[in-house]
Amino acid sequence: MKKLKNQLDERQEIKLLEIERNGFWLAFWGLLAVMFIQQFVLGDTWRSMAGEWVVFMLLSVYVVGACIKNGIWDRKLSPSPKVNLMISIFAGAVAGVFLCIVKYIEYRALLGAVASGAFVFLLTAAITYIVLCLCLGLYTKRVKQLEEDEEE
Amino acid sequence: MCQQQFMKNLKMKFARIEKDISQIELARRVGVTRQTIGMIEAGDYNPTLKLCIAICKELGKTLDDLFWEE
Repeated sequence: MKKLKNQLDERQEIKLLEIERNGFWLAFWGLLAVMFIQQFVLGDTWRSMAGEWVVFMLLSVYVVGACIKNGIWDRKLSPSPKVNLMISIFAGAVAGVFLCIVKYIEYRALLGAVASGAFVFLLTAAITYIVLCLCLGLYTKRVKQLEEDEEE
Repeated sequence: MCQQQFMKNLKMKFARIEKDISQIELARRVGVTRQTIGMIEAGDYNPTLKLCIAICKELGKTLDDLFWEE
């Protein structure tokens, strides 16, 4: 089949890449928000949101994998265990506070809600930190490989 | 989005070798990764004008010397 010619000039091409990038982030955060709402507000089962979860994981794995393969970590954040810890604590805090509020609204028991929130905070922070450190290890190894792979 | 294949930039490669600068060193001087320099020389990446100028300054050449197509 004959390859179709690019109809866009270079400026339009950059603009389309920007649009596609914004679309990606809209889909990413939108899926995450929808899963949170379905699970914690509407009380849906995990089975009922399996589709959203699969798409979200595909997006996440693709982006992380492609970035690591190309030796890219992040635009602003530096690749270090200290930054990973800060991100993990932040992610844990968001999840913990969210669950605390949801449980309090559901049961009107402050102590129970805080305990649930604290548990989710610790679990989310721990898992996030472990995953980030694993990714950091792969990224560091890949960057070393790319930087040393000089053409003769 | 379609991928463009550019021609290898042998002029830039030879200018760099002439100055006895490694890809890593040139990358450090112009503020990019070694991979980016490698991809420019291999014709896999088309640098911005700003980066072209920075490379020319480091290698002591003009834009025509390194980036004009024959």
